[in-house]
Amino acid sequence: MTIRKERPRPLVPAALRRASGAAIALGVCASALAGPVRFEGEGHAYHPVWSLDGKHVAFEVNRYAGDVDLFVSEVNGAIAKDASKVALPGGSNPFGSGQVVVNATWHPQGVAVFEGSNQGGQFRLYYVQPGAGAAAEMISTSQLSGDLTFPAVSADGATMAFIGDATGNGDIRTRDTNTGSLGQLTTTGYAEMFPQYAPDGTKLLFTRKRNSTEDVFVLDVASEAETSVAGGGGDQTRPSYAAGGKIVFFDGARGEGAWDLAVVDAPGGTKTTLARGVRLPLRARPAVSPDGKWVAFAYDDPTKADKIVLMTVDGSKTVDITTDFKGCGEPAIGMQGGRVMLAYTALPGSGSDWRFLYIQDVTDKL
Amino acid sequence: MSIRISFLSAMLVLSPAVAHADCDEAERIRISEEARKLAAKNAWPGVERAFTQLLDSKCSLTFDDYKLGAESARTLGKTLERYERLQAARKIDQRSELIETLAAMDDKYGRVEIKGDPRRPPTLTRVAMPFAPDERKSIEYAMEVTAATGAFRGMLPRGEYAASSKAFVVEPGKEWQVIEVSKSEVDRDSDQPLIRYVNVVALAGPNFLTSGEPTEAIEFSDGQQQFAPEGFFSTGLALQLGAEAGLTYRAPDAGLAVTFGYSGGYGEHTMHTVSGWLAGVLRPGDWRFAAGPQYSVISGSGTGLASWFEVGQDRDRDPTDGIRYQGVSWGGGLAASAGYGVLDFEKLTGVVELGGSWQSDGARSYTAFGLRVGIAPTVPRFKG
Repeated sequence: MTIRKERPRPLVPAALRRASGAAIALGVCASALAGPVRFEGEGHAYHPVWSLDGKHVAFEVNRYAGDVDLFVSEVNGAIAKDASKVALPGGSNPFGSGQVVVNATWHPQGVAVFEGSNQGGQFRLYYVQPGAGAAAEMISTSQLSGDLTFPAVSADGATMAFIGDATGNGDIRTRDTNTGSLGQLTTTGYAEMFPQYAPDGTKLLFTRKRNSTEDVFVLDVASEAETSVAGGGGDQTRPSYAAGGKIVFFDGARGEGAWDLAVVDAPGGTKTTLARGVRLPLRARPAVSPDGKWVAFAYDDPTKADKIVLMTVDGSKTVDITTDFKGCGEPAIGMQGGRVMLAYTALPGSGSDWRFLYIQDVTDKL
Repeated sequence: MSIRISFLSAMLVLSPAVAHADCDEAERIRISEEARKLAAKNAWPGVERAFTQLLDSKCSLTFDDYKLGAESARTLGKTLERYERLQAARKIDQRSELIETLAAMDDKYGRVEIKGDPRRPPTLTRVAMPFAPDERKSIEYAMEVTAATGAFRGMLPRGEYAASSKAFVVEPGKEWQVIEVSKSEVDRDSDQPLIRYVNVVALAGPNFLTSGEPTEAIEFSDGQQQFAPEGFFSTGLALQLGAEAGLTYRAPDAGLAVTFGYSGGYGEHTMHTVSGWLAGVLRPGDWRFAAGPQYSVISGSGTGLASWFEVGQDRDRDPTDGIRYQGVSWGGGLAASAGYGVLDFEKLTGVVELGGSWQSDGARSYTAFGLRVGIAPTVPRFKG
């Protein structure tokens, strides 16, 4: 897996950025159909994740100063309230500087689960309910030690999968919502990552790093039998279920940092490339819509970096969302009361600034 | 072992003004710092203990103290306590985050009072547990309290619940919903044992014994006067050994104690008393009150008879206060004690008691009293 880091660029005058830099510096006005998400402080916005009801969006802010913050904004249409920074537990600053709060996912009950770490410390799972106070630890160290990462909640909210490294390089663990009990699905010496439940909860997608390459597998939750989904040269990573049982993932088979968006109809099926040369998000999976029919992505090619592309997962239809920005990427599709909402991050069309988060109602474009 | 100081400190506190003056600010800061360190380690039971110490410190707590206390209450599932601590914090600083959190709690939680029989406590259940651990913990805490006490008063996440066979729905809001659960609505399997606790009682301490001189001469059936001692006061030791059993599950906790004791008074008039005492016991808070009938046998000897003693002897040669006597007496009476627990040894409590007894053999009465220290059973209470 390759993680691409974007360096801060020369900045526009600080006075223009101030607290909620992006929107002010850009002079972008919010409308009912599109608008920026303001947040306190400054940094590059990454990895937006919609709540299942589309009323909240969580995203990361990275100043590349050693810490990454998580913000949550309440969204009504494309109008986002000023985002609130997620406070970790234990008072004002127990984690000190250098805290990393990333990789949010949402439970159907409106709870965001994410990874958090203090400076050089272990990653643990935390949760926060927007507007309900500071975050709290999801699973205590006495229940399960080690790094806990990659939270993934089943569609019905009954189970959460995550990766725990207490007994290896990273095994798939589970937490039953009703009983609170913890389980373990894999016990290999390899690192498993990116678990995601199938919509019916019976299968679990994940990737495994083996022999320096990452491949996609699916696991039957009841029998724990594994089936290969996609492998071969390079990394195949960040799989996501789509409509009809299709599985969308990022394919690095071409190597040299080039990424394609690929799909298979079923585990072990023939791989179809939906788009070549896509921009690999910092942490996100392919942005599949809640109904599983669409996937959003951006191109790595700077000449195409002013748009987000929406494509049906069978590749039959493509819609370009053209913007006035550059460096568009990190898309996420949410559903808000029947409206299809797109969140993405971008840089201003001219000059340089922090990467900002933008929300757009794309219902009428699909 | 823990030492209870609340009674002692309470005795020192005469008024709120004095109480405020008693605040040890340095100690408050030390406990606050300790709480913060424990919170950073996610050691929330320790944070809760520290916060309880802060509440007992007679000091004015800070915004951060209350906020941390709210966080520990949240982690332990004490949602009503969390709400109250957040409200206390808000009185100090009306931060918007607090107002939002309190509003969110009012939106997600309802106030519930479950009233059941502690002898047959209802079982609290919820069909589907919520995902968020604090909501889950809130329910688990309510389950624990209900199972231990038969009752619960606090906040629960909105949803469908049942207290044994009685189903109810918790709706968010500030109105209290009272759920009364009768014994018939609870499975008999929930019945708690008849004897709630039983353990040793052992006490010892100085004894003071006094008996006044009978006003009238005491005679045997043949008309001979008894060699009854004059009025006396003697000091000695008292020992008690027995057992106490708790028989109730409602406050104030009550039970029975059976003890056998020895008490003595030594000197001019030496009395050795062996007694059996059946006492009803009340255990409100850290107090222990016992009272009940006692039966004693006294073996006495000494010098000095009652002033009315007259068997025709020459009073100049044989004054009554120079005549030796020896004998045995027996009879019933009453004994009572009031004690306070000062030390915790898990199942036993170290107590200090002031005890006394009165008994009569039909001709004269004996009164004893003294301060005793020893052990008594700890009443198993849910501490939360």
